Amino acid sequence: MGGTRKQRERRLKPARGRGSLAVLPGELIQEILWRIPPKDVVELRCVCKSWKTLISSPQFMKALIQRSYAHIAGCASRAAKVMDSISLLLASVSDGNVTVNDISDGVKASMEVVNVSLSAVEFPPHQAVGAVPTSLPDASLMLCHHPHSASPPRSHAQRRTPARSCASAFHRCHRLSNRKKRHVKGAEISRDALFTLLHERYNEPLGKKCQSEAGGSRSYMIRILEANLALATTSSNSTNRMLSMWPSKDNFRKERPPNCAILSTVALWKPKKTEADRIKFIRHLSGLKDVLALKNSTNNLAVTHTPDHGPK
Amino acid sequence: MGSPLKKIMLCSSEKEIFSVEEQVMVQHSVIINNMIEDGSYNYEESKIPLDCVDSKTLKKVIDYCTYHTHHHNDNQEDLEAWDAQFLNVDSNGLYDLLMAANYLEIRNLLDLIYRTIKNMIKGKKIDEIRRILNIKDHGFTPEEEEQNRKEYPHFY
Repeated sequence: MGGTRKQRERRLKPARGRGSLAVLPGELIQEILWRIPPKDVVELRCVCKSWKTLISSPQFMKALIQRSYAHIAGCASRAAKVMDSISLLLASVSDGNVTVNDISDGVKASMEVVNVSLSAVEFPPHQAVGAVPTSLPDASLMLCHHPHSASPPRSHAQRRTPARSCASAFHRCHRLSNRKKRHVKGAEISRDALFTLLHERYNEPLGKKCQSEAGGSRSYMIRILEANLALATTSSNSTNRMLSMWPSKDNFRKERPPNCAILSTVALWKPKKTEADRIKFIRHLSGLKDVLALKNSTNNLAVTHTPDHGPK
Repeated sequence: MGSPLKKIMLCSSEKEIFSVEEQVMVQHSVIINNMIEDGSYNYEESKIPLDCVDSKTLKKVIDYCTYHTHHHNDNQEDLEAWDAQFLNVDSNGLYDLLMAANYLEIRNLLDLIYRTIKNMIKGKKIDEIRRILNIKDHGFTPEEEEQNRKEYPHFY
């Protein structure tokens, strides 16, 4: 219960007498600062001397970093869960009763992860993904309060970490996409959120494995993303327009889009569209035999992940 | 724990007496809970002296505890709205509340206040934060202050 009453009173005494928030005891300030993202805490050093002393103390930094680790680790596992549900949705898209809303939850949640992990202090990859480390090297403490850096330095390796965990979740999506059909409750989709997610996903350097998959030029990716967006956000969008936004078949052969892009498009495909539209779309897709195996034409749009090799 | 209708007496720094349902305070305040549990409180004559809490603040704290005891089944939005209204006080009032909540160890209230203060300073520039928190003496020497400003111009 934090000391006897006498101790408490003594502790409270000096701050008494028309106090202001500026003279809070250190332990209370600490509680507030812990709730602020680490990268922002660093600049609060300049607010006043007592804050600076507190924030620069190794104990405080250590506690702060441990909290962030826990946060990031939590996010990563949540992202993986979200991706799992997306993959289940991908599998169930052939039922014809999955709507855009169904996956928006997942997209939104993964956005959150991307945002959080990019805005939080970034840590060396091997530590960020794992559990809370019991002891931290001094170097990582220095990351946060090095006197000459306004914000923690970001190396490439550090930046990449969160995206990488997303990517591995995406890979799981492929594997899972043939599994059992289930439904996930939906919510409203946000255009920006989707765009940013997909954008992050395809443009972030993701390590060898993902890079081969995400081969293709940047502008090309963006076209696909836009096509996806059109699908996701407009209900009156005609198939022709959608297809016109997709790269042409010839281009498809030259520059294969990432499987993820195709899978997400398939997932976003509105089952409510007319049968003719559906067939058109599937015919378009069926030009991509190396990517998708389309079974039973219209009704059973089963998506399988085929091994990664170039177009024939 | 006593029956829900039992009352306990709280005495503010101005020696004003507040009579509160025991259940209300026991549920929220760790300190009072301990006091009741270890039998050091005498229902006939004891008053719990809260020398660092003035009447105005104590009344607010009791309001908070009472409301949250009787409305804990309300939906989250209503509670949040009530909390926001409750904490619509100036920074001195917020300070008093924080000290009182800390003294009485009312965890929910503490958390609420911490979050509120966090939101007050989040994303603000240093000068703004100083104004919000009413920091007049930042404790830096003029040279240090100048160097900070030179080094991190975007903070100010």
